Amino acid sequence: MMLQVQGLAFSYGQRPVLQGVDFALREGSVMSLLGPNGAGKSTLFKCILGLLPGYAGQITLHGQNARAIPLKRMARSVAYIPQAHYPAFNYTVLDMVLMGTSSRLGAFSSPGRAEREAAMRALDTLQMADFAQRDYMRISGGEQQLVLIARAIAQDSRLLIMDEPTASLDWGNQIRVMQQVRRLSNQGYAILQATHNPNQAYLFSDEILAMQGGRIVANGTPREVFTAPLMEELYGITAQVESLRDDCVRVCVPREICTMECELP
Amino acid sequence: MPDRLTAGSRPRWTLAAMGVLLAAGVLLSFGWGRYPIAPREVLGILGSKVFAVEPFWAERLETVLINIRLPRVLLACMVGCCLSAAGAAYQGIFQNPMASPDILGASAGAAFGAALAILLRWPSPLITLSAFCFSLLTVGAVWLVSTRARGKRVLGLILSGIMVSSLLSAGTGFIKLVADPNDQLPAITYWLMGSLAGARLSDVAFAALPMALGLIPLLLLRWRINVLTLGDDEARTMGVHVGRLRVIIVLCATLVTSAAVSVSGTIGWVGLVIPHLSRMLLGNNYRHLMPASMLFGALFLLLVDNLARNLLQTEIPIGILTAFIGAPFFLSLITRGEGHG
Repeated sequence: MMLQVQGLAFSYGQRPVLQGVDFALREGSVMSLLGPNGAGKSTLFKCILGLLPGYAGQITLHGQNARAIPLKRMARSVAYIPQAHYPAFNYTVLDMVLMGTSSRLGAFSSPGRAEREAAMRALDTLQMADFAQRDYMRISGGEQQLVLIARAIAQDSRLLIMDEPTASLDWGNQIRVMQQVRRLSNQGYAILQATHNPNQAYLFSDEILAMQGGRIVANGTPREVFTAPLMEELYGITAQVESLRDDCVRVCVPREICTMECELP
Repeated sequence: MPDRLTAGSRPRWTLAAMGVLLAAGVLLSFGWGRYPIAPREVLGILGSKVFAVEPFWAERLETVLINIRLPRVLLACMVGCCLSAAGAAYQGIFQNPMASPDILGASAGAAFGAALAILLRWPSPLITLSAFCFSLLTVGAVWLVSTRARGKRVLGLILSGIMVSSLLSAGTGFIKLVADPNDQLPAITYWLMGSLAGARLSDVAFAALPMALGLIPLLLLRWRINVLTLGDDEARTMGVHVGRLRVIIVLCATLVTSAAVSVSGTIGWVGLVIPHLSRMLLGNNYRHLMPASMLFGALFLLLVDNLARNLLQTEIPIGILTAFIGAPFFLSLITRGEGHG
């Protein structure tokens, strides 16, 4: 198992945010985390990434207790891919990816030839090598997201944590990014992504984890878990889930909302 | 593929060109002044300090060069280098393109320390020392206050910097009010405008150690500053000890700013404008930006100081000139359309 979370609990002051969270993620697997705003998804990620050390329970990365892993090794155990965002300063795409190699460098050194090779390989993996000398701020949001994924790969970690990687992207870029994520999982990467798009979670993941109020309410394969009652429980909207193409695809739509004249079921 | 892997030789050539320009600028500045000294004589006089050279120049010129121009030229380069490096460092660790060396109160503290020393009629070396100590104390106080501030760490730091600075400016204002208007008040006012006139070798010696102690780590840690500009959480997940790194960089930037301000008075704009000019030339990667800011800062202040001492019959305070040059330049920079910030 790449990642194992057992009895995880966390609270900000008196307010519990996570309670009794248990799940495991194996190599080559994509797990989508669904849940309404404030369900505790970001807090869960921060605990796994070692950004919030004050949790109860146990997080195991590659068979080792995460608390015992020093910061630099932690960077090679798990990588964080934020939403594409504008940093304070513009860097070239290559420099941005090179930052992922920082954990391998001494505090006083800059990336050298070996790191540049690793960064170019990572860009190649995502078919972004031609972008190396472009300005990060002048490429599209989808391309920026792929650059951030390449940075995580250059970081040399096989476990990738993605915080709503497709949230701000247009529909085409959402699909392109998720296809790359799928390809990475075929190469053995384990991916845990938060998403607000249940249809995508069904289409691209091996497992769905659903959270509500700091607890896991469902955990299983998309076919087991992705149902109208779960969507209603998570989001409080009466939902209709339709199956397409022999259940390879399922789509979730709101049930009682219609702006055109039609027969509601 | 091999082409894409070379680090790119352009930044290196630009840095080398800056170094050559700086060396040429230093040599020319030795010669330029009320008593012009020919380059041959400059090299002869400087060479005679190391090798046995038969003097072929007037002794008066040697006095001017060694006692007046050498310390001044060195100090201009050192101060420019430090202010610019500190500005670049603060911009990075605060993820704020508008940060400048006085953001944590180093200048306000130094001004207060100098004004106090002038009011107490302390001798000139103690004025410098007082400015240096108050500058460090001020930033220390800002840091302590910010650790108690609620909310975001960086924002707390910047806000307490602004508050403590304005408190000390009020203190300086009060000192000016009670100072003797015949001699103390002009001295304080002149100090606040910033000047390298009357620079002595003792000033160079005083400033050299703290400056070296601050500049070397800033140069060595420059790649890590890139990672810090992405924000704390992201930097940590990439294996960078964010808190520790930020303390070290604030310490170094404060050390060099305090040392610079205490020997030169408050010289604005260098620490804001020069890093941005360097960004335009070489991009935002601190690997090249930090050395470029240092070289460029030294070159810039050297040029401006040459103007300060040669443009008019009387000396123009250099702080006024940097503002005259810096502010319009910065305006043109931000109105040029696509920003680099």
